[in-house]
Amino acid sequence: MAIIELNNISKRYRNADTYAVDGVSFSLEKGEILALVGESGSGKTTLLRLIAGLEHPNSGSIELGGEVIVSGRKSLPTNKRKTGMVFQDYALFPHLTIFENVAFGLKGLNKKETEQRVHETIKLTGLKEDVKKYPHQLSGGQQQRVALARALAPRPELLLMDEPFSNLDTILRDQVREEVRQIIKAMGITAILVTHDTKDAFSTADKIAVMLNGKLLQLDTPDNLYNNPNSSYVAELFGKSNNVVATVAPGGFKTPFGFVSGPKDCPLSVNRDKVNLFFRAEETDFCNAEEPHLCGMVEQCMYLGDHMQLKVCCNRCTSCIKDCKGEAMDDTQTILLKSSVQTWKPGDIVRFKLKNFKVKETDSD
Amino acid sequence: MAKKTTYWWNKWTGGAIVILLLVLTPVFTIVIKLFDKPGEHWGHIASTLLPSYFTNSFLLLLGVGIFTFLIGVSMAWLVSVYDFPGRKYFEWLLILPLAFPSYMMAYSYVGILEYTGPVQAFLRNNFDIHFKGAIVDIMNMPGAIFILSISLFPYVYVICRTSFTRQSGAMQEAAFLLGSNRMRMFTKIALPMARPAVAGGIALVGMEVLNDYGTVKYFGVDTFTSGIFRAWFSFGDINTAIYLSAILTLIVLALIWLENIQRGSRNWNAGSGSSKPALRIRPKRKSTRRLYMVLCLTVLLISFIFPLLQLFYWVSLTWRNVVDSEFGILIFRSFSLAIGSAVAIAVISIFLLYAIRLSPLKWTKHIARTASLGYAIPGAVIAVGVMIPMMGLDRKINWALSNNIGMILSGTLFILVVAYIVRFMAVGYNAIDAGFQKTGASVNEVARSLGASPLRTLWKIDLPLIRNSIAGAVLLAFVDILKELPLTLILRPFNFHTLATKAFDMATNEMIAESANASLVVVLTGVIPIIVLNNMISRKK
Repeated sequence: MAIIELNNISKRYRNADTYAVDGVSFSLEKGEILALVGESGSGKTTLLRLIAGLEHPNSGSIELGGEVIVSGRKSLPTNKRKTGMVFQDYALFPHLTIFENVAFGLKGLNKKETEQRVHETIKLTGLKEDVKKYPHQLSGGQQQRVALARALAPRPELLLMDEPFSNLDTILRDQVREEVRQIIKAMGITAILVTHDTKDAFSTADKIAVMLNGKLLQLDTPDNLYNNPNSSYVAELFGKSNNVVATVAPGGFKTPFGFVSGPKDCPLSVNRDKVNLFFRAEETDFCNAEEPHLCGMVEQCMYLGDHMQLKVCCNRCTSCIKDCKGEAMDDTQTILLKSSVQTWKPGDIVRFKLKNFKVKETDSD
Repeated sequence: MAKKTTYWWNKWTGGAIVILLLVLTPVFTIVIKLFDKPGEHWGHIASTLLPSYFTNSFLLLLGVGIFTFLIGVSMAWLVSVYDFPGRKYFEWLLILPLAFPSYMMAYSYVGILEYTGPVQAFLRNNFDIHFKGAIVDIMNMPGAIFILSISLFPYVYVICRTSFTRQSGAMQEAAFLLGSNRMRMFTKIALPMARPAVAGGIALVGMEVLNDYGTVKYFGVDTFTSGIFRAWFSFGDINTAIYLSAILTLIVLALIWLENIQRGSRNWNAGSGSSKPALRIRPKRKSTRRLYMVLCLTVLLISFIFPLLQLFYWVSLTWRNVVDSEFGILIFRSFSLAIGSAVAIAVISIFLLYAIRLSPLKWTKHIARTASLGYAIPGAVIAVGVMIPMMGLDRKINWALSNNIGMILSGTLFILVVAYIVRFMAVGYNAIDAGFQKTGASVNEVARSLGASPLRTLWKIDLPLIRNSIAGAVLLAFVDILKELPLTLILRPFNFHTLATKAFDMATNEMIAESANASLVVVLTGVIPIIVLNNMISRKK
């Protein structure tokens, strides 16, 4: 059963020309973790605030746990929704101790039960500090855990997290991400987290929703998003990828880099003149001149530690020209390749094969 | 299933709307009454007195504007750019004139310069120099400009100093690297950048000038405010008072409007606020450093120390006759009235600001701001605007009870408290707003998402976090109310005195030396918040 369901939610802020959130619909099953990914201004935080009841949508409805909490002008006040929230700056109550912070949302429990629940939740988040301390006495990572414990203590139906990892340094971040996922999973809580970092999304979420200009572009599993992006924006967001314009030819595709033979089981729509060949920077093998290959010239190389990123432009290599029968192609295209060999320099000729690629309709369609 | 409500509505919104309507009633009243026919004395006043009200008010505004600009900007520039002996102290000592109500300043200066005053006595006894009457007659327009300028320049000074010290050091360094000297840096960079702030300060000064009654009355300069008093008290002509009030309100609104256009959408802040402050320059020559110190000292002596010493001198002569149990009661009454009103202002401000905080509608902020409009409107106008609906209400009550119990609202302290709230709302509102801004919205939002009701959130989270701002708001409003004269004069119950009206009453009844006792209490009380706030700021540094 869907624990949360958004139906065609739109929100436009006063004095804004465009919608911050534009016709977004999705639902989430109990126990799932969803990451909302997008650049700043894409509407992801607004969406979170709409679910929390801190903003009201211009149109659309929201259901939480089978109950309509937003529709038309009617809205369930924030404090009556069973959602927990973790803010980017944690928003710990500075004048209350850790214990009082975590206990703040607990209702209807006696003193002993409260204490038990607080300690249980704090233990779960792995915080080993004295609960009588105040927030300013804690480090960033510890504050993060208190914020999480505070949101989890009342056992909400839905946990909302706004950029929960952005205030942590890189090393701490990797560790906390993993732990947060485990904690949420251990409690069986449904969670939505907002992030602009795809690494956050990949390592914590079961599902990822990509937002751009208030619209939901794609909501899918991380695997599907990476391998079957439905737009070049989504593809670009999750790693360096290439889109090469190609012409359909018998048995394959002609590209400015040479001839690519089509996969045997590929349902070729030969009636289409131009297509895009989509492949990621790491989905290539370098090879020698004897095998059938594509070729180009290194225009720029960037040293990135464990690998090198090459920007490759068309090189009117005789074999390619021959294969493509000198057809007029757009030879201003460049592609990015990843290489574990680090000895490339600009001007080198690269010969490579595509390990894997997808045929897409051209974006101009 | 929990109950859904209309998203923008809650009890707080309802309360805020009611409060806003009540607070804005005086303004509405003035506007509505404008469409009534003018009072019987309007024709007379319009033809004989109105031109001089216009000229005098305009000359006062112009003169005081120019002088507060010159004194305020130059002092601010000295203490924020140069380092010289005593700079650290002058920084806050130069704010002290704000504690000195201008009408009390006027009495002091008349005393300083008169035949029996200390200056003439000194010259007479030591140099045998004699004057007829006062050394300089200041009981005229230039005198009024002088008094108002020295008591109001801190408005420009404070706001300008903040602007100068916030301008980034990096930007000033860039200007020097590009070959500017200090003077060019001041005229081309610092002053233009501070322009919105300076204009804001001068607009505040302008409002205070139009609000003033004590000084102009004592010096015999007829302005709009004195016109309102004349119509109200001498002619008993309410409608004429309203007409004058309306014109005065229009002038003030024009002032605000001018200030707004000149500011436009300009926001000349050097990006992030965390940039390092400009380095203070220590002039190489000792004589230059001395000169700067002497300049600051001179301004301080003239605008605060001399008039204060005069008060002390008078008090030493007269306290035996004045300070008795009745004087104690006077202080007690004044203080309780001011504290009570200040607390009411704080409570109402918190209510309004919290309603905005809860509201999902962002524009409520702009509407709620109108609650602080009273600060721009002269006290005499507010008094008229409060008096009229209250008298109407009294008549209704008397009629409903078919009993002539008299003025149960308009003749009591209640009306005075209401008027203080309307007039000084901005003081408390801004201080508490600053507190809310500093705390940020997220702690409040998180508390509510944890299931706490808005009231519990306010009580447990917001109020404890802004308690300093609340204390500051009460303190500032308290001092302002204590100094208030024109509004209190119009609305006080028969024979009821505050320290301010007592000082005014005595001074206008040839008991100027005796009036110093009440003045001194007001001035010294006014010094307290300046010292307290200065300590709070320096501790933060």
